[in-house]
Amino acid sequence: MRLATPVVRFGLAAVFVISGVVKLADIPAFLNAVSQYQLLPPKLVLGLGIYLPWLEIAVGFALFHPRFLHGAALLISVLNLVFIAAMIATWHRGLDVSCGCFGPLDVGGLRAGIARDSLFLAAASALLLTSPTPARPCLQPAPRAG
Amino acid sequence: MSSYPGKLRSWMTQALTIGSLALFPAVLTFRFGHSSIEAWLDDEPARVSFAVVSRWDRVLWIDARSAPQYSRDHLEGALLLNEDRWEELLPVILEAWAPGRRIVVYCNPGRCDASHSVARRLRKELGTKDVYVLAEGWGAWALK
Repeated sequence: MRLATPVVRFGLAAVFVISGVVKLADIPAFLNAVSQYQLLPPKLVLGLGIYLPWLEIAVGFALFHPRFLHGAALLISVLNLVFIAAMIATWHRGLDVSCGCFGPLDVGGLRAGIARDSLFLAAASALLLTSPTPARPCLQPAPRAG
Repeated sequence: MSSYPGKLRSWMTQALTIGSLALFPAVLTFRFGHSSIEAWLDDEPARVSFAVVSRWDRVLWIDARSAPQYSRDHLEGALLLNEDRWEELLPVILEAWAPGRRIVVYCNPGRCDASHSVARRLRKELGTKDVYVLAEGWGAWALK
């Protein structure tokens, strides 16, 4: 357990930073991937397509900082819940679009994406619930000697 | 040891901070970066549902699937156009189209970039924004 937590933490951080950077490298391709889900109007696709890669990078780096660990794990859990819901909704409508999760590094379609994001959701939830909260610095004055 | 509502509040504050931090570079990216984003906005043809298209007059239907699929079955009046035989097929489209006539491109439902790429290229080559992608793809009329 002692070893599992940092492995999960750094693994998730690497996944999210890489995913964000890959999307930023080719924003139009990511915008096309998001628009293929046919869930959002183009203006929202544009906003999400630009914001999401930066959010993924920010979340990835935040996982390294003990003060933001829980917030980052919470964000990853919520993000993956939303991704899974979007993919299930799209799959349910019979659209077999590519996941769009990792740009050109994407492997598999929606089913693979749902399985992968479920794994990330489980990892982030475990991190959220098992990581200790960092102790607050003690602000009380030290007792005087003598 | 803090309570769960207290912890949740703290986690949400952290999450909001991270989300706000990501907002700055995103705004900068939108404002200063990537002319390709504007190109995407300009190029991206609107998707329309069959219910909407069926109310339009004189629609020119374009089938962006492969030639064998087109030969097997296609929407009545639809013309074949795909990237593989663009130069060969485009003159037929130009003959049938007149400025002001809306064009709707369809391809297979599901994983199909062809209708988007054909629509984008048509918009560029015909110099019109009146090119749309059928949201549901091939067989939308059967879903009615």
